[in-house]
Amino acid sequence: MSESPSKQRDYRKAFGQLASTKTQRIDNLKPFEIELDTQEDVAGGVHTIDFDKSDIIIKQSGMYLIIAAPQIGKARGTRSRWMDFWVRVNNVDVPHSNIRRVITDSQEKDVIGLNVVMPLNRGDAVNIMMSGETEGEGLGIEAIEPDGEPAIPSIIVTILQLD
Amino acid sequence: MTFFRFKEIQIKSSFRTIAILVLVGFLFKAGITGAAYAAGQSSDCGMFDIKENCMGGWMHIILGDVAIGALLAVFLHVLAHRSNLKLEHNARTIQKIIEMQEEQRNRRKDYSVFNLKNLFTHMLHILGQVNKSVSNFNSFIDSDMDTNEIGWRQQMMRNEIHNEENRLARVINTTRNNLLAVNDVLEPDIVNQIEGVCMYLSEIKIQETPHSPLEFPKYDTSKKKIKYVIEKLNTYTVETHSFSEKREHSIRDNEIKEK
Repeated sequence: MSESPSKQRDYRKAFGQLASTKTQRIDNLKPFEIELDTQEDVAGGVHTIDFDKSDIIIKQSGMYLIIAAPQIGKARGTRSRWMDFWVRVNNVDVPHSNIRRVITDSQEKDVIGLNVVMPLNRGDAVNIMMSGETEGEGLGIEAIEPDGEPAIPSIIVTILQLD
Repeated sequence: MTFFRFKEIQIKSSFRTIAILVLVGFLFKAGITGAAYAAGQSSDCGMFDIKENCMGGWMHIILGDVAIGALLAVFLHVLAHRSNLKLEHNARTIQKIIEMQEEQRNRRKDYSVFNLKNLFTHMLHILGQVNKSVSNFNSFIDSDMDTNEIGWRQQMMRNEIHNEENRLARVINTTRNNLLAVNDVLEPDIVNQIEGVCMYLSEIKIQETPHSPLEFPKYDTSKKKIKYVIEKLNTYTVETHSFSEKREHSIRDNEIKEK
């Protein structure tokens, strides 16, 4: 990290931590793009990764590590149902990026990890995708606001440029 | 010095060496055998005599082996000279072909960058048109008109949007075809970036659901992606036939300044 002439921080490697403070539930059986609404503080610098709703936009070409951690849950029902999460780049699913978690009742909450290392170009749009077994049981990612603690976002996505 | 020139010089010097070696070999052989022959001569025959039934040892060497050696050396030299000339000619031709191919490659690269820049500018224009048509369509729904006229106008607008979408699809196809044709001259990261944008844009469709306005999803992201590509293509210079990294840095610096 170095200081630019205008006394603003200029980060050489791109990074970003994005999150969603909204609960997002599956309402149809099609793949669903998870929307994001908050980004990390860069201490007066420029964000090296942009986002626009569900699109994470890369501003520097390079090799990237993407980590996504969705807080999953369901609203109703007692049958075991699966949920899948994977990465999509430029509207194309990334092979071998999918993970699955089976969830049984509405009291069950879990965070699952999704990791991908891949080359990305300037302008590439990355999406974290979600799909579930059924649309009627409120499967999805949940934002929780516990008392006296920081809010739990429904998803946290961390992106780091490696090279 | 090019590789071919170096090879040519190597071949030339090896021919010379062979010729000299052959000459020295002959002389050496002739010297040994001649001396041996001379040693076995009768006293009637002198070392340099040339008479009937008598030839001196040294004369034997001079007239026999040395002369043959010299002739062979000349013959080999002529051969070497000829092949050298041929090699030089071939090297010049190869060099010319390589230069021509390089020039052609550069010309193709210049044209492809220029063409891609035009295509992406065109795409940006069409995207803007579609977005404008969609917002026109949505604002029209709220207007006070009789149902028949609204229905007719909506159909017209839908057709217009559909046509624009088709136009965009055609431009994306053209870009992909061009990219396929020039992927041997463009840098792989540029090809990947452009392919990514084409892939992204080709998947975008206008979404229409009953009782809700038309939606053109990801318009801003699409615009941003196209602008990034155009920015990158603008860093290309015909002087060096390459994309400059400095410009990318200055783009980032501008972003910092803007902030």
